[in-house]
This record gives sequence, structure tokens and C-alpha cells, in this order.
Amino acid sequence: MNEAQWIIFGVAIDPTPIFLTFKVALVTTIVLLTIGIPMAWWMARMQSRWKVFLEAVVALPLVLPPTVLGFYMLILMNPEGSVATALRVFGHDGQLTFTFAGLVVASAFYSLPFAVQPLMHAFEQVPQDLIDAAKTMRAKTLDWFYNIVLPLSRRGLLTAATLAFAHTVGEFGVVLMVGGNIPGETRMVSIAIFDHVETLEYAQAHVLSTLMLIFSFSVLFLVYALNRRFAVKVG
Amino acid sequence: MLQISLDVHYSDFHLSVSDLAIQTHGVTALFGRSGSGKSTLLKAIAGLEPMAAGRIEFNGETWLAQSKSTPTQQRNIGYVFQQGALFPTMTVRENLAFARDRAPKDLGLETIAKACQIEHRLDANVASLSGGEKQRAVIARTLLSAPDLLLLDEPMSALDSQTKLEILPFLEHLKIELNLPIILVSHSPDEVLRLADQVVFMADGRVSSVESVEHAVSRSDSPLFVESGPVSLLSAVKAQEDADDHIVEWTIAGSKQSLLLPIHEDHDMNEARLSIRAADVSIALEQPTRTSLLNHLHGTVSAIEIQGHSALVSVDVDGHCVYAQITQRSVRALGLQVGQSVVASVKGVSVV
Repeated sequence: MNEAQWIIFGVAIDPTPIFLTFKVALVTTIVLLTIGIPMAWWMARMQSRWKVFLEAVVALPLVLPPTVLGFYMLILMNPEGSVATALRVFGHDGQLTFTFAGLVVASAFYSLPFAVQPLMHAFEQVPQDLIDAAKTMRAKTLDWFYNIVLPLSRRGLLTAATLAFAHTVGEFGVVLMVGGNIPGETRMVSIAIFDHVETLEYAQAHVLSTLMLIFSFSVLFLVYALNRRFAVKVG
Repeated sequence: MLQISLDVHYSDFHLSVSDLAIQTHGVTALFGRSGSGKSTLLKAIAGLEPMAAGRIEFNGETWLAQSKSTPTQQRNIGYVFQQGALFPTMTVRENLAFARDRAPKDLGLETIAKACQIEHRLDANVASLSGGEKQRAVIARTLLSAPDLLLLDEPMSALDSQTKLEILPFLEHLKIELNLPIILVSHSPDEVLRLADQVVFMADGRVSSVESVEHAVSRSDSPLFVESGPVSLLSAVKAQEDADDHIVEWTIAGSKQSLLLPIHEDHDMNEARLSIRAADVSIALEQPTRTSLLNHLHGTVSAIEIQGHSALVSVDVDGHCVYAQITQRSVRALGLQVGQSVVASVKGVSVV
């Protein structure tokens, strides 16, 4: 046990898994928005028949057992594999498994549909006329995207960010496969709960589970409330 | 001059235009039914039609060469969309500023807003605007981007008929004051009649003809006048008003002759187009006396076109063409011939 412990509901709790979980979730969300926004825009405006294929690929983590995804991630992250070799070219030590970076990469894949789907849905609702109008007023691509598309898609952005964050907080299988259970390094809250139950520390498991429950409910409540508030009328 | 040779291919639609030349002054109307390709053509001129291939040149500048296209941002065009396309996340002022901030010159947001009668709604939300206000805000925004060519895609189709009556005179003022070439997509003969100088008739993805509006309305088979038959259009200047008799005298441009019309309440303009249906004009060989008709125009017969049982007689009135639809029997009875001096008596004339 760690020296800095929190007392919640009279139970001593090691807070490091909580901090780690939020850190992973935050970084994953930032990564997902950075990749997800251009990707969702590209898919939303896509006319070709490959669109259906891509949509199915993005949605895969929704239905795949996390262990399957985690298994393939492990193989991809093999320190002797091509990904690691490529990383070494860029000066990285090539070690992804059982590290923070590995957790973020795996989480990003796992939470991808939660970011891309709401974004794509929002982008599909943006009327082409508004973009065309901006172009006739000499707005270049990044200009109209930032000033017209993003403000119109703020609900989708908000939903994407909160769901990606919350879903990363709630993952178990993938992070266990890729990150393992190294205290202070890769042990996230969900894994800590599993650990406590294994060792019959039901009090700690209860506290952490309650925290997760409150957090998850609050996030969903926030999403639905903001969705109402930020409704944009088009037309 | 705007020169266009264009192909736009979709699986269910094909627009094909060859060697279309549109003058770059005054108003050109693209007229046709929905599905005739007029909006697609306008989009291609704006550079907003991704499937466009061909050649477009605007005053010597190449906008499209095969599929190599000058981006819309560099074409210096203003575009008024059917539904307006105001940005709903911004106020009216922010909408106008969006255009001004990206324009090569600042025409003055307040000045343009005032000219478009929208200055009292500058801080309003777009959603709270009425149909007419929306359209005036859109036009103000378009003008603020300082375009060299103004493209209007059915600017009034989303408006109710009352609001249309309010916007039409406004567009007319705009046309006179701006001296900016305008291309207008329309399926309303009224709009074309009031605003256009030149008409491009379109059907089934092709251009069927390009005519001056005066000529276009006069053809008996004109697509503009399926119902009312041929119409003459005369530009005229207001001469004097007689409030007692509730009558205005309009002098025909370039002529000493004039027409008397009832005072038109919502028309405060000093210049207007007068329209006369050919069916409302009769022909006499000399000035009729003792008649209730007020309007008689002197001219010479320039053409007689037989159409079934009737005849369309063109009378040249000091350079303007006035059409009279009369029976063949009348043509024979009067012994009408090209070159003959006649008097055209006008039963009905209106300001368009």
C-alpha cells in the first residue's frame, strides 16, 4: 500500500489508479479528437462505397470482445515486431506493452467508435450550402471548418469527447491485456476493483465501484443535458 | 463576357452547355423548370459543382479548363442561396462581418446594412428573422464580400407572396444602383420580366435559346408566357402625376409619346418597365376619336406573323416594339402591310 491514501466512506483507498485512469482517459480523448475530427469529416463527406466498409471497421470495437482487441494489440506491440522497429527509428525504445503509451494506443482503438460516430453524425447534418456560402466569401478550408462546421457540430464534439473519456475510464479487458496490472504504472480503477475482489477486499471494491457508478451516471447526465441546451437550429 | 462550355455528368442527370455567352452587365436570367439544369449551371459558374468539366472564362480570366478549376474562393463571386444560408450560430452582424473580413475592400458594414434595410436587426439571432429580413441580410452579406459577379439562385422561392412583393422592388433598386452583373436562376416569369435584361432558356439539361427579355416575351410560343400570350415591354420615365384623376403619365424612353396609368401605390420609382399584353392592343389606321381608351401609340407596322386564326402584328413605336394580337379578318379589313403607319390603341398597361 501507498503512503498517500485517501479515506473515503471510512475506507482507506490508494488513489493512484484513479489518477492514472483520468490521465489515460484525458490523453486518449485528446488523441481521439485529433484523429477523429478529420477522420469523421472525411467519412461524413465520402461518396464512395468504401464508406460502409470504413463505418463497419470503426464500429468493430463495439461488438468485439475486448480480449480479442487486446490480443491483437499485444501482437502488434510485440517488441520484436515491425511497429516497435518503426518506433525505434524515431528514437522511441519500442516498448508499448505494459506502458502508459501502450495503454493510450489501445484505449484509442477501443474508444474510437465513441468519438467518431457522434462526430460523423454531427458533420453529416452540416448543410453543404453553409460551407459553399463560406467559400464564396473567400473562406479557405481550415477557416470554414473552424468557423462554420465546428460551431455547428458542437453537440457532436461534446458528445464525442465525453463518451470517449467515459468509455476509456470504464474499460477493462483491453487495458488488462496490454497494460497488465503494474501498481502505479498501468493499474487502472477497473483493474484495481478486480484486484480487490480477488483478494476479498470488498470494502475497497465497494468504494471504487460506487465512485465509478456516480462518475458514469454524471457523465451521461451531462451529455444528455448539454445536448438539449446546445441544440443548433439550422435553416 | 462570361463564356461557358460545360458538361456535368451524373448517373441520373446530364447538363451539357456549349458556347454559351452571357453578357457581364445587367441581369441575365436562367429560366426553366426544376430539373432543367439551371441551378447546376449556376453552381458550376461559382465553382461549387465538383463534377463540372469543360471551359469557363469570365472577362478573360479562366475559371475552368477541363477539370482544372479555379477555387471558388478566388473567383470573386457573390452567391445568394435558395434557402439563404445565413450562419445560424452567428448574429446578423457576425454574418455580415464574416464576409467583410475576407473581402478585398471594406464597403462599410453599417452602410450596406442600411442600404439593405437590415440595420435595425444587426444584433438579432438569425433564427428570429422573418423571411424577408433573412433574404435582405443574405444580400447584404453577399454585397459586403465585394463580388465582381452576383449569382442569385431562386432568391425568392422560399418567400411567401407578400414578402416577394417586398423583396422584388428591393432587387430592382439593387440592379439599378449596383451596376454589378447579375445572373439570376428563376422559374417565375414575373421575376424574369421585372429584373432580367437577357434570358437563357433551359430545358432537360440544355440551353434552348438565349434572348433579350424584350424579344423573349414577345414570341407567341415564349416559355415565359404560356398563359398570357406575347407581351411588349417598354422602359419608361415618370413625367407627371395627376393626383385628382389618380393618374401618372409615363414617357416612353427615347420617345415623345407617353402612356397614362393609374397611380401605383407601392411604386415610388421614377423609371419602370411597362408591360402590355398583345391581346390588349388593337390597331387603327388613324387616331380614334370618341373612345374611352386613353392610350394611343403612333408607329409603323414592322412585321405581321400569322398564327392560326389570329395574327401577331409588330408595331415599331420610336424604336420600341409593341405587339398587337388581332384576327386575320382585321388584317384583311384594314389591308395591313409592313411599313404602314398605324395607331396602336392600348386597353391595358401595367407597371411590372
